[in-house]
Amino acid sequence: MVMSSIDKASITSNISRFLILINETDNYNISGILYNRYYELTMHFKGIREFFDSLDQFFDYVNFPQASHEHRTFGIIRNKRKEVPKAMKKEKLTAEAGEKATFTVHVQFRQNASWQGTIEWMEGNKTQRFRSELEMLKLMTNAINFDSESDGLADWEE
Amino acid sequence: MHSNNNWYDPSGNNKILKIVMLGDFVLQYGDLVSSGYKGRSKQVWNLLEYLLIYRNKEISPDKLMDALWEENVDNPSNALKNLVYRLRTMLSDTLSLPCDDFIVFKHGTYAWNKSIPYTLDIDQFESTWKQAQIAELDSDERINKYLEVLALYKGDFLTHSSYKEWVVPLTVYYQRIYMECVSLVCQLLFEKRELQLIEELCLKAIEIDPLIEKNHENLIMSLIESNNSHKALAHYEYVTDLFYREVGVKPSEAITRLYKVIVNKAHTIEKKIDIVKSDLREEESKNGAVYCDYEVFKLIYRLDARAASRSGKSIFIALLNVTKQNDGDFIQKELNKSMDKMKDIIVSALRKDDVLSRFSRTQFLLLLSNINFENTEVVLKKLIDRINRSFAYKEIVVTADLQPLEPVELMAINQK
Repeated sequence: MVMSSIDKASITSNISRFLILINETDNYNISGILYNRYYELTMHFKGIREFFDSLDQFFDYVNFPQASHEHRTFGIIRNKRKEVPKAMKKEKLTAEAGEKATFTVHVQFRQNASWQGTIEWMEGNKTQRFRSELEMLKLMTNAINFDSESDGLADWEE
Repeated sequence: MHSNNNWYDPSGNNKILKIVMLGDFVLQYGDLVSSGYKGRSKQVWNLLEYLLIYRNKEISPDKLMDALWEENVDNPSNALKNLVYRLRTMLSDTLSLPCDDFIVFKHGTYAWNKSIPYTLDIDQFESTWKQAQIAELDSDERINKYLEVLALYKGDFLTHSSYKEWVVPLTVYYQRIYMECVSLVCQLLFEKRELQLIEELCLKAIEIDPLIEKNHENLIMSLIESNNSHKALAHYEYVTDLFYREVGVKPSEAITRLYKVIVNKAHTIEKKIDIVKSDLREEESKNGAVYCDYEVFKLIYRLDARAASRSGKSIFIALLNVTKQNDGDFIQKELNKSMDKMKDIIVSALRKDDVLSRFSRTQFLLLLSNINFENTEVVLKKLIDRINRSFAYKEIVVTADLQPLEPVELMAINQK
């Protein structure tokens, strides 16, 4: 089912609470599914860039949490993103866990052109607060254990 | 000169010269009243003031001349003699005093003649004040004595001459006694629950010097105690405004604490919900931002900080600073005018759910919601342009600082 619109009057803070199922970590990238169980919104994403971009576009669309700063671009001014990300569908997700890892992320604020909120690592049964997208990403990669040799990602050499 | 000791009572009436120096300078003899400051005779009254202030001293003509004539006059000793003559004549003429020797000249000095009966309010004031402090009095007697002291204080010492250097220290001295008496008698009156009287006394004291905090504190307390929360709150707001305006500080902790008492006290009587609601409702539909006290602002900020994660709103606070070019000092009057004007402009320019508060003598604090950083900058720039344009004093400049509201959830992690 293609998403038409969300009744903005019915938006609560759960609109920005997403389950993240990480299914693939190939080529030093992550892909998987984003799911909002309260509004039954599902989105498949390929890569970290799509993950952040689509979610940010979605938050812009619902205007929740309100961004404290406008998007900045070099040169061309992008139109205000007032549409739901194309990949986002109104459908129920049956899967409950990702193949590599599962998180619940709640983006509560978007200050300083970044995100702040909480992230819960389901398998590790841990919840932590993050101050920026970078910090959130670091917590995710730590949990996925990218830095083990099998993933082949570079580490700082001694 | 007369030597008749009964000069003041020639007809057998108990007429006595009454001199009042607290408030207006007034002399009264029988039904006849004379008070100074009507043009020509100014120096005559100055001389009289000086002689009465130093009534316990003999004053050399040199000293008198120095005090009365700032600039050099030709032949000052003649001028002084002439002035003394005019004073004697004036007193006997306007008050029909039967003699003129209440200013004596002996051993080459002038002095007020204390051997002639007269009453002087400052003498009574001080002696009654001392009587009120006698340890043996019971509280009713003490209250009455204090009230007597207060009744004698018709105003500051020689109000019309308050700028003169021989008057200033005495003005301060008598006012300090007066304020001390007001405070002490209020304390006693609270025990007797004479709230109406406390209110009257404080209002009079505030009129004399509005910047004595104790009087405001007692006034607000008496209003609270007499279940007059509306008036108490109105006065609290008046005081807060007054202190920013006049001295640029917040009122004392004691007064701020009373605010909480007022708020709690206002709700001791149970009411029906529709009455409560009509009390909550704004009186008329108002446009523009909410203007409130800093304590209220704090509460609204904290509420928004708590609600932020649920409301998802982006909220900013801005601090508007008023400065003077070249770091000059403000003239109080121009600052007050500018701040008033600024307040009106800000209220009318901002949105209904924006909040404005006076933060200090030269600062306003704003809370803007549903807005991002870039738009806040635009809003503030327009606002500041409008304010700067409206100022009659071009050397006054307004600037702003901007910060996002900090949601409670981020407080701990931001401090890491």
